[in-house]
Amino acid sequence: MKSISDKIIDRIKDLPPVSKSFFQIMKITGNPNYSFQEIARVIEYDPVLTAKILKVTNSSSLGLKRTFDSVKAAIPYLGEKTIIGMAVDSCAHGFYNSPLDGYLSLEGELWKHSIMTALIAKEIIVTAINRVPDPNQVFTAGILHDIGKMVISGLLSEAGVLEANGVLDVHTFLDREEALISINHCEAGRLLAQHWGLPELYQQVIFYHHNPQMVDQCYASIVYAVHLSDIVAMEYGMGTGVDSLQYRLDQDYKNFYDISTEKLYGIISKADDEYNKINEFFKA
Amino acid sequence: MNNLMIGIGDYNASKAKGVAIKTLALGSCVAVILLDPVTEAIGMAHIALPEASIDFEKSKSKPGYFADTAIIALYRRMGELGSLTKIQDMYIKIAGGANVLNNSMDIGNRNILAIKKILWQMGTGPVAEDVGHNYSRTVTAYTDTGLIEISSHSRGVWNL
Repeated sequence: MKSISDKIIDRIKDLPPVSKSFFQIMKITGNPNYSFQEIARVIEYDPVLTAKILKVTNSSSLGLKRTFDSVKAAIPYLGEKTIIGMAVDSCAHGFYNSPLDGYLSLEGELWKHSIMTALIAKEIIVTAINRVPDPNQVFTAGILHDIGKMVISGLLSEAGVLEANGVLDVHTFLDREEALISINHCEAGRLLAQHWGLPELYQQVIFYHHNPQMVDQCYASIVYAVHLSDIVAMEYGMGTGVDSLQYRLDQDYKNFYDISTEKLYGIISKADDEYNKINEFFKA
Repeated sequence: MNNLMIGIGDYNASKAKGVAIKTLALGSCVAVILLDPVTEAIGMAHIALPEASIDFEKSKSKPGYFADTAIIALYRRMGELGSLTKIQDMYIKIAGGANVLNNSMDIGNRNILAIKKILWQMGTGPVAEDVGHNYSRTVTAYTDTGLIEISSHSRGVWNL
């Protein structure tokens, strides 16, 4: 009988492919001293990715008053986070848009949840009490935080996640994952991140986003931003199916971010505006 | 059955038969449903936040997003469909307003309170509600029967 780690490795091998440019972009943004021009260069060296981004950027439905012949020229008009979002979607479209059967999550829901989490996190860091994390790192961490769900979705489905409802004496969905398949999506996500060679920062976010009190202090501000944003995105109705709202909020986010309920209202409203804008890009 | 989908911050109504007015995966957001017993029209708003003062500009372009502007906009939409019934004589039902465990910001509960306060100021209130807890809800209103159905992943389906 195969061990859980062997099963996870098998699942990782069967995941929808992501392109080489995806890993390069993650590696660049994982470095605290990166420049956005390095990302633009990766995109420009990937003709398929460049063509996709320029096609969307020059689409008449966006209503931009000029046409662009390079990604670098489009950055001031689209913004860095939109370019990163478009690049990740283009490089990992099949990965993010597959349904998650083990979560009863429909096609595209993982992508919507990941983008909304990323946008909320980017707004939350404005309220940072001490050092403000890099906005593009926070945004990218938000996009990556739930990749483990793709790894274990099939295992959860086979283990009868729905039939187990009400039978298992568990508190959060992480407990349910562990009770059913002996691993949760955070651990599975870290295994995938290691397999992909993602920077340590993103591995830490993926592994600790539901247990931020355990993370090393040097990563804590980003992990707490993603932890809170993940919860807020779920509460906003952009979760990934059966696990929505089945987690706990760690109140220690208050040590890093000064957020009142009123401030959170503004953050949600602004993230919703940004989400609708980005959605227009993806529709185009 | 034709589906009339209500997204976050949207509102709409119908009095045509064979329509399912539906909103998906309510978390802390709240669905307000108005039922006119005279025309048998049904309207639904998917409210995200309690007050238009959070973003006044947005409340003008998307009145269904905020509780105080959504209820008025929905009532007007019912009027456009020929409803002359006062809001006090309509049946009002609400669903949603959930939160994760241990969330002191409690947006769901604040949304519910804001909606009830506005309805009370209008001299009315919900005749039925399914609110709070920590699970998401999909809400469907059927114009054929006036039934309001709530479903939740792994919790089944029930009527409000």
